[in-house]
Amino acid sequence: MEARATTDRWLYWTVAALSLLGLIVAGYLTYIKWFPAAPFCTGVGDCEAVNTSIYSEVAGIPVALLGALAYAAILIALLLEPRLPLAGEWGALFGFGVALAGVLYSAYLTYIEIAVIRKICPYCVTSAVVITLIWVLAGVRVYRKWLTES
Amino acid sequence: MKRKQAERQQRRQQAMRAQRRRQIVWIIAGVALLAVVVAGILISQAPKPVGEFVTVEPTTWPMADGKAMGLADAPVLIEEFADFQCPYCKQFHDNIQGRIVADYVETGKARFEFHHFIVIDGNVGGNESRRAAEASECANEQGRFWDYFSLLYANQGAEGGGSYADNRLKAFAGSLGLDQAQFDRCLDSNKYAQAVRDDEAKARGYRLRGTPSLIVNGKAVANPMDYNQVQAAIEAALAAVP
Repeated sequence: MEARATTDRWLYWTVAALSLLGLIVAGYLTYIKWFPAAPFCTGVGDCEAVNTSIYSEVAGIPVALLGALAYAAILIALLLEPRLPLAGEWGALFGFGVALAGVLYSAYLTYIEIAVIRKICPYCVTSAVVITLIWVLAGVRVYRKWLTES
Repeated sequence: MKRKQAERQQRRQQAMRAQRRRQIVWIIAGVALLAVVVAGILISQAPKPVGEFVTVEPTTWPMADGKAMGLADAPVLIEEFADFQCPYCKQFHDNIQGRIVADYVETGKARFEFHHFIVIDGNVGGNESRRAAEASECANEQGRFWDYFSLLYANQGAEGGGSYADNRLKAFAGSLGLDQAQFDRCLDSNKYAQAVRDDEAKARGYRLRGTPSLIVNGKAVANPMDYNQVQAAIEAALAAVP
C-alpha cells in the first residue's frame, strides 16, 4: 500500500510539474505572439516564422493561448484533486482527456511545421513533447485509479 | 447453507465489479472520443479564414496590356520569368522592375512581359506558387494583372507558409474590387492551369534554372538583380536594332 501511495504521489507531482512547464512554454509563445519584438525567440530555430504563420491562430485565437489554457486546466484540476471531492474523483480522467486532445492537436501542428511551413519552432516541439508525456502519465493515473481498483 | 450463501454473495460481488469495470471503460472511451472530437474541431478550423494582409492602391500601369506593359512593336522585348513565392523575385519587383519601366517601357523603347516559372513549390512542397500564378491569370481575365501582381508581392510570406492559400488569393481579389464570384469560379476551376504550364514550357525552352530570370530580345541577363547589367543588356539590344 505504501509503495502504491508513493507511486501515486510521484505521478501526481510529475504531471503537475510538466503542466507547469507546458504552461510556461505556451505562455511564452502567447506572449511573443502578442508582442512580436520579444527577443528570446530569435536564434533558436525559427519559432517566429511558425508563430506568425496563418496556422498560428484558430478563429482569431492564438493556438499558443489554447495550449496555455489546456495546461492551466490540467494544473488546476490537479491542485483541486486533494481539496474537492469532485476533482478527486474525476480529475485524473479530465487531465487525460484534455491531454489527449492536446496530443492530437499538437501532432497536427507539428505536421504543419514539418510539411507545410517547413520550419521548426523549438518551443512548439517542447510543448508537443510535454503534452505527450502528460497524456501518458495521466493515462497511467487513470489506469491505476479506475482499473486496478479492487 | 451458509457456504452457498457466501458463494452467491461472492458471485454477485464479482458480477458487480465486472459491471463497474465495463462502465469505467465506457466512460474512458467517451472521454477519449470527446477529446478526439475537440481536436478535430480545432483542426477543421485551421488555418484561420483569411488572416490579415496588406492592401495596395490600384495604380496606372504604363501601356498595360494583359501580362505585358509597353508598345506591342517596341524594338526590345524584355521577358521576366518569376515565381510569386520567390524572395528574389519580390526584390526584383521592388528594386529593378520600376526602373526598367520608367527608363525603357514608358519611353517606348521596350515592352515588358511577365511569365510564370514555378520553382518554389518544388523546393518546399505545396502548390502556393502555382495557385498564385493561376490567381494572377484570373485577375488578368478582369484586366487587373499588374495590380494583383503587386498585391501578391506585397503579401509574400514564408515559402509554403499559407500566404497564398486559396482563400487569401480570393480575398486579395476582393480587396482590388474585382468581380469576386467570377474570380472565385475562375480559381476554383483551375481554368488557367494550362496557361501557367505553357509559361513554364517557355522557361524550359530558354533553359532557365531559377527565378527571377530576365530575357532581353532572346538573351538571358546573367544577374537580373544588378540594374547595370540589365541596362547594359537593353542598351545592347537597342544598339543592335537596325
